[in-house]
Amino acid sequence: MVLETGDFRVSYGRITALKGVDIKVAENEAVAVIGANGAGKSSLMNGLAGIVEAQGGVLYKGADLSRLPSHQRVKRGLVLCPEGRRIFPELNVEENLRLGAYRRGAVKTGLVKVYDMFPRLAERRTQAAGYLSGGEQQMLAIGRALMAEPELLMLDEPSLGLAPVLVDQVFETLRNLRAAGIPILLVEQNAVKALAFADRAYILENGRVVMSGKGAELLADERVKQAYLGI
Amino acid sequence: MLVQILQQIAFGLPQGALYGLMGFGISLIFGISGVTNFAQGNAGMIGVFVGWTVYALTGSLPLALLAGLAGGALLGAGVDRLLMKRVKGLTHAGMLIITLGLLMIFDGLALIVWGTEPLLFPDLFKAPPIMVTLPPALNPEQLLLIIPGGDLRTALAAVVLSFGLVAFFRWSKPGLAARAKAQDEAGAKAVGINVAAADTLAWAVGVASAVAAGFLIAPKSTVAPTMLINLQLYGFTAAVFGGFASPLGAVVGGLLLGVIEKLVVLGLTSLFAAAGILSVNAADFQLSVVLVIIIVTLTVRPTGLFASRFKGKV
Repeated sequence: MVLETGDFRVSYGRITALKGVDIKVAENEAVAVIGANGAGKSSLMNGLAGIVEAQGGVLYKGADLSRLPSHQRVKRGLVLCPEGRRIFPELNVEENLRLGAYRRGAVKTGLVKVYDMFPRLAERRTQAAGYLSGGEQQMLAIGRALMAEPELLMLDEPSLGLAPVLVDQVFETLRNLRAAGIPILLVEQNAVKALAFADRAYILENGRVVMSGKGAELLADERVKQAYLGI
Repeated sequence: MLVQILQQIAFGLPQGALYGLMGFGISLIFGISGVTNFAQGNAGMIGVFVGWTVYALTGSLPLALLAGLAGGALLGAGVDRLLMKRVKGLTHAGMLIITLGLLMIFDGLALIVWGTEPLLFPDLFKAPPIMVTLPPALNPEQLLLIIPGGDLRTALAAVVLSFGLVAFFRWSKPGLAARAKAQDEAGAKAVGINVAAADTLAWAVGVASAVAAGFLIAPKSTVAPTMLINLQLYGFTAAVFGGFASPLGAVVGGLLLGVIEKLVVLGLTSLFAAAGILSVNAADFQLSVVLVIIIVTLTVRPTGLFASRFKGKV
């Protein structure tokens, strides 16, 4: 197992966003977590990355990371591409990417790889990231995460706010990454795309896992169809 | 008239360089850690006293400067780690009261340890003034232009230091990381930046830069608990003028402020002379100019000269 959580909980003051969640990601596996707004998806991701405080176990490659700060988790290869992109708007594209390799990863080879994957970013490398379009910013956010040479790539809503053609492009990129052997944990509101992409998936409701299974099976499930796919 | 204007610029730039250095630290700490540090001047003053003490004990100037700067960096880091990290998420008003409290604590500490007697610190860049006479075509009155040699060398040191520190935060890896933290904290955490360390770095460098400004102004102000109170006011004005979260803006704002201040006084002097007013000295209005600049900047362009392109802090 790359990642295994045990009774993982996240609270903000008196509000409990995540009420004990157990999920697993195996080597070479792409796992999706889907759910409605407020189901706790982003809390799960931010908790796993160490960006918000959480309780419960985070077993990553056999080591318990639950007490480590975010930068120590990045150092071990647990890398998050956060919701809303969270790029550095005043820094240029290349500086953003360089910072992706701040804790781990080789800058030179990383830049070549990312520019090769997203030629658009190479064209705009000296531009302030804040001037990029939404789609370009998402590419930058994914590229920045890849600079750290993740051993588990976590993506929080990478398709949010993007035009359909760009959503397809993001999922195409994710498929390529998985083909390159990077385990992926993906959180998405776009349940159809996410389930079609993932090997396995969990469905989150009110901070709990209510269903799990193979991506294709969930995609065919009547209850899932009604609740999440709008079919 | 040209000579008078040049004269005021020659007097104004050296002061402006110190305003800029002081403003740099204020805007650095605000820009990265989000705290408006009203104790900036007094924190710098403590560092200067440490340097003075080491100088009195050892007689070594390099050692004294090093001790002062290191003491300031340590003090800044300590304030961040022991105080600011514990009151995280406080309102702006709360922060203001805390840093005002620090201002008084530092003041009292200096009074208890070093007393009120003004102490002397050697002039680092002593040099005689240079007299220049411009050719008659430019200078019909044949006035002497006085170039304050020592002040200009001091100013050069302040400017080199200010721009050096700006460059450090612009291009070095820790500097880039600290700015990234200021622009998007969650994004900074996601790439593995230790955001707490970024704040501490800003505080350490910020307070040390105030110590440096203190060393440079010490020959004029003497070493005393109140030595940087005025310079802090100018530093804040420079920072507001330049764009509060932009250290480069604060440095440029300081230089401009130094010159504007002198030119306004020159203008007022000739205005008063023309109007036959003899009972007021235009130089008394120097401090008012600073306050007017704050008010005008906040009214006309509250983001300052070097505003952030993508979001407005303050």
